[in-house]
Amino acid sequence: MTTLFNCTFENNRLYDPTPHPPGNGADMVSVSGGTVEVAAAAAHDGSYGVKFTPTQGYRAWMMMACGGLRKLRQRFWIHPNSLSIATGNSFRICRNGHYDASWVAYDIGLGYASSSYYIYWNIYNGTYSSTQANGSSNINITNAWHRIETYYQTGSPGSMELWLDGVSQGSVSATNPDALVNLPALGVAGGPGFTISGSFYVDSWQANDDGTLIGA
Amino acid sequence: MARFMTAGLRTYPGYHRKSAVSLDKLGRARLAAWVQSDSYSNKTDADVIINYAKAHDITDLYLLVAYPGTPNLLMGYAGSCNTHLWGTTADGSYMFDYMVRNCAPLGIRCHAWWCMMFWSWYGDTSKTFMNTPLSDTYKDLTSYSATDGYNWKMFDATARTTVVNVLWDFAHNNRMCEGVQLDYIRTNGNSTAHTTTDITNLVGDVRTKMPDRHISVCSIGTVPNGKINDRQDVVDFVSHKYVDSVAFMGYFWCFARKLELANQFNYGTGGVEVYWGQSAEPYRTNPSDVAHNTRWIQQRGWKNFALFDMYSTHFRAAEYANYVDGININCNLETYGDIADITKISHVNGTSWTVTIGGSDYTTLYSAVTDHTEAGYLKDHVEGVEGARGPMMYVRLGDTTTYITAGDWYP
Repeated sequence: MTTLFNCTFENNRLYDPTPHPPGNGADMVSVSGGTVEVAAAAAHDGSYGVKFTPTQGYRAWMMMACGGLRKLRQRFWIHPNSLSIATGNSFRICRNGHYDASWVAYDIGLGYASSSYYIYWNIYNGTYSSTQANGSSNINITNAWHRIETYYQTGSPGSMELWLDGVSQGSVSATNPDALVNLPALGVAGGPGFTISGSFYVDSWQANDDGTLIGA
Repeated sequence: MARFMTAGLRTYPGYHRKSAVSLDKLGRARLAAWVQSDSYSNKTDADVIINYAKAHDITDLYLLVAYPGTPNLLMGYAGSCNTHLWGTTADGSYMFDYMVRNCAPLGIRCHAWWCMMFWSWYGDTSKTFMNTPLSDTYKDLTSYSATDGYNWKMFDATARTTVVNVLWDFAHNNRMCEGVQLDYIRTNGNSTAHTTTDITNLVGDVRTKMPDRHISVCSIGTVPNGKINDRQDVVDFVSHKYVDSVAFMGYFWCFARKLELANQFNYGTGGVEVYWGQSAEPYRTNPSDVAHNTRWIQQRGWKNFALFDMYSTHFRAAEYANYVDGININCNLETYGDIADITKISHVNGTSWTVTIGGSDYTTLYSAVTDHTEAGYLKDHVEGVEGARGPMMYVRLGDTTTYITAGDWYP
């Protein structure tokens, strides 16, 4: 197994600009709107995590440069915290962060409905595509720390399985042999198209390229 | 200037010889710059470019080509390919020739910069802006884009012959020119009519036609989008020995792409010069970011740089809008500290960012550029810069005293 990165943020910094192998922070943090900051309050493990304060319409995300991956297993902890989302709305928190806005490959969304936060994930068709192939149903989560782990694979078909707190929530598939992942991204990965306030937390973002279980 | 002695000089007329030694092999760095045709369309502006290149140790200039008023015009940026902007000076000389003749004694290599893929440009489906020798027969209908118009059928050997002959004709009439730079040597994202082999064949045809010239390409690398979607396999170009240099378009405002390229490429091998294509745009973000980005790339082993977008008005508003949200925030190392010390980034009001380093907040601002040419920009912002010698090449950008740095130019 090759660990691609292991962002713990324990050095109380957003970046770890040295080249891979893994460091404490992200390769890149891009803020078009809102705020991204390391914060003690955002720590699930150790002393620090990352706090995202979104603003309507803009991304604010972390990216890791990984080259073209046919397999990506990643795990992160997320806490919705005080995030206020008008019911029935959601936004992306995780995707392939290619420079081309349409090269999605996969994404994970965070939303709010029926008095509960929820997550979902999608996988996308082919190459250079923003066309969703298949998506999961919404899965409710509480306002607490949750461990999300995913395993994305390209193929004919390819697939993406998601585990919530160690329990598989199923898998979605697509024909995506060329939809390589090159920039795993996490945070406000899609500008919320609605009024949003508050913050959410992320910590302990780790990934490998062969699908080995990461776990807690 | 002794280090220029072995590069860029040639005998003429009649015989053409590529530079004997790639300075890259000697471990020295090269600095290139792209120059729009309307930036050297008159002697006054051309002299600014030449003097600037001399003062700042620029080793290579890619000069955008627009052929005056004949069917040999291949393409040009919209607004830049009209013949009056290409210009014939009062004494009848051509400005490309003027640039080459004045740069050669300085050891500065001039390349004819061509944009290869377009049959039409920026939505111009009738080729209003262009006088290409390619008929409608060679329009790649699968490539249509409302914003970009059409590509041409690069898989068609007859079409390739026509285009390559245009390049050769121009080079033949400018024998001191180092060679050609093939920009947009790919399809657009819509075309389904080509394979990577077709694009490679085009580069190969250029090489075959001009075996004694420096062939350079702009590349977006072999990230999946570059190779699979846009049919550009730059590794194939290199392995076939079709090219002498590659400028990888790392850009600046597209940090994500920079990360991809930096992790996939380093130095060229087999004598191929490798450049990092760095946007020097001062107005989209803080100029000091350019300094840091340059250093970041150097840390990853890149030595040669190629600068563009010293002005940016040729960019379309749509492109800008697409990439604004890809802008990353870095900080000037000398002034603020190290990017590794950033703990917080906020972008709230649409015009500035606040970055927290070591507990202190620093606000970065856009700086506007109003002049539309490199020459004009240089006149406004470069004259008066204190010094440009020694191991660090720097350019003052915008209204600040921050600089871009191109690293150590000497071994």
